[in-house]
Amino acid sequence: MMMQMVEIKDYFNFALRTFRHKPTRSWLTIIGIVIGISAVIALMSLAQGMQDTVNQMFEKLNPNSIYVIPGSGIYGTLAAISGTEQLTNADISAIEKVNGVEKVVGFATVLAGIEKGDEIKYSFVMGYDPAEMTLNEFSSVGPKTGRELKEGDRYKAIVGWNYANGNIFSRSIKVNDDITIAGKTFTVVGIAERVGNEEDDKQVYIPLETMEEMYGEMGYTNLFVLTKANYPMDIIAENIKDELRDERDLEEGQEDFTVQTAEQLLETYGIVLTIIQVIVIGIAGISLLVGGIGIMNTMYTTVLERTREIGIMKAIGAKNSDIIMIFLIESGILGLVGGAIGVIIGVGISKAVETITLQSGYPFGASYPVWLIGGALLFSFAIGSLSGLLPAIQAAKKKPADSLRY
Amino acid sequence: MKEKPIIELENVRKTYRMGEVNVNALCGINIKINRGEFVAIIGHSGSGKSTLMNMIGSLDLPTRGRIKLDGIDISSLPESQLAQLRGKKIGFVFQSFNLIPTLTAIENVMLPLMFKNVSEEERKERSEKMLARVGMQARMEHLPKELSGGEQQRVAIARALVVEPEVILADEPTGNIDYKSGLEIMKLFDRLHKEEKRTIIVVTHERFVAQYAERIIQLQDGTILKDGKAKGFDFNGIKQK
Repeated sequence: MMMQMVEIKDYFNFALRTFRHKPTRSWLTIIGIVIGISAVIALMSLAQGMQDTVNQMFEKLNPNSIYVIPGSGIYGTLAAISGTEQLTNADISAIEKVNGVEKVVGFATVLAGIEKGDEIKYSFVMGYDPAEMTLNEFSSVGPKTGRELKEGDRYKAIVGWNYANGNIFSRSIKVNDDITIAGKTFTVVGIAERVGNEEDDKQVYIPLETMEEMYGEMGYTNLFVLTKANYPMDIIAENIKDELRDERDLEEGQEDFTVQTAEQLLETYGIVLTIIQVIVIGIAGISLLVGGIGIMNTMYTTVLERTREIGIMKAIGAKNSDIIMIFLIESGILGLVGGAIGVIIGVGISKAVETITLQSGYPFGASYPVWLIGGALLFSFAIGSLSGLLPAIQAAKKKPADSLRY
Repeated sequence: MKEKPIIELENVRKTYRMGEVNVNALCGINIKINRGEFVAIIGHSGSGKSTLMNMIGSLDLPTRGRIKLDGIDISSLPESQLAQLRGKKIGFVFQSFNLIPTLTAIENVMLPLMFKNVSEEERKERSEKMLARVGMQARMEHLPKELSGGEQQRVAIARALVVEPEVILADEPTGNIDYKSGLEIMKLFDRLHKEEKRTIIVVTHERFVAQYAERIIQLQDGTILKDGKAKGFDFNGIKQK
């Protein structure tokens, strides 16, 4: 006997009739999946967006650069910010001896009040020697408008992108405007290109000489090392460490400084981002699980409720495979519709978060990769059909005489 | 050569397990029904008539014995083949109509054709024709809940007939509808039998229903009490409506 297959289209139409007939039940089932999927989409697109934003920021890093900061580990970062540990000219000379190093520039950083009119804002002010290196060379965010600082500049400043475009002061700063830094008047000569994070974009750059005039001789909070092209970065970084240890008379493992290549810096951030993503996936997974159990529960009672209908269909010639297909498609559609609505709501949520962060000055965009959207839809269809499949197989196994007694 | 019977039951037994005890619903039934016969199976409730109906319709399998439908032994067929056999050879009419509540009258009639993989156009055409034949052409687009009991039963009969089955199996077809509608249903069966020579088996406990048949099989406690011509049948103890 040839097995006849009913057309998928017919099953589909059959399933749609059920939805029309029991809209409340269908929507309740769908809501479970909607919540799960929207949580996943919102969280994952934000996490992905964060990753993309960080990646973009790092793309602006010069790949031939090595950063040296005082202290080590997290303590090092704190030390650098608080200024308790400093790097010196002796350190610069030591690093300059390392093979493959093109030049070394020291940066001094202070936290200072920046004034415009009667407004005052606090930000990091970075001093460097413009004769040694341009802003563009060490950060690729050289001034977009105006010019770089140059040798002999006194009381001139380059301000971060936010001063000209954000809302740091009630009036945007333009080239040739005067601002007051720690009580001294500076002329703005350039506006830095956008970096992508608020801290960097509100930074102010001034000549090191001017800074030393204001604060006296001071150490460096970080050193920027530019290497010659095509040298192995890791080896140069190791050699810098050796030189600094010798010069500071330290044993291996006792370093009070940190040397990082651009790549290592990226890796460090990568680990943090991965941890965040794992947490996010965990939360999203839990909400999906809850949604999945919800849909299973409803499908189970739905199928049970329709045992008699299954009996009727078998009495008029439906094979077990027909019954299973009908419920498979029905619950699959429920899952898929829930998934689609979930995707829309999830995108809405992350767009809202994006708008809020953008308004707060962070250039942060949520990201919707194809695998995320496709995966969410596929998953919701799969969980839907699966939860319909199991009770349907069970119900189809019953003898029609028993099903009809229901 | 004598035509072989459309339905043949050989020593059919059915035992249900109800908790601790076994209940013998059918104890060795032997029946032969020929093509074109109109048979009524009567008996009190609990006499085993519904069980017998389920056996004949392959909705349930006998504990022992053999059932042949058009020469095919259905007691040993797998469920997938049983389903196809039912879809082709048997048209069911139930006491509680058993229409799918989410489908309109015509969609209900079209459903068995869908499982037979008939094209949508043909399904529609055949179903319309069949609904017209049972006098339901005006209410084809209504849902079952919008129809009266008699109307629902006529839709159910159209659904049973649409596959052109060998046998129509009706289990208490008038049980849930008023007397007048019941009469109409029975007249419809009578017409199908006389004009189209269809094989009809009706299970009932009502005398007026049984009187439309030409042969009556009376069951009692799972065995055949009487099996004979309807004319002059002694309806001892069978209720008259």
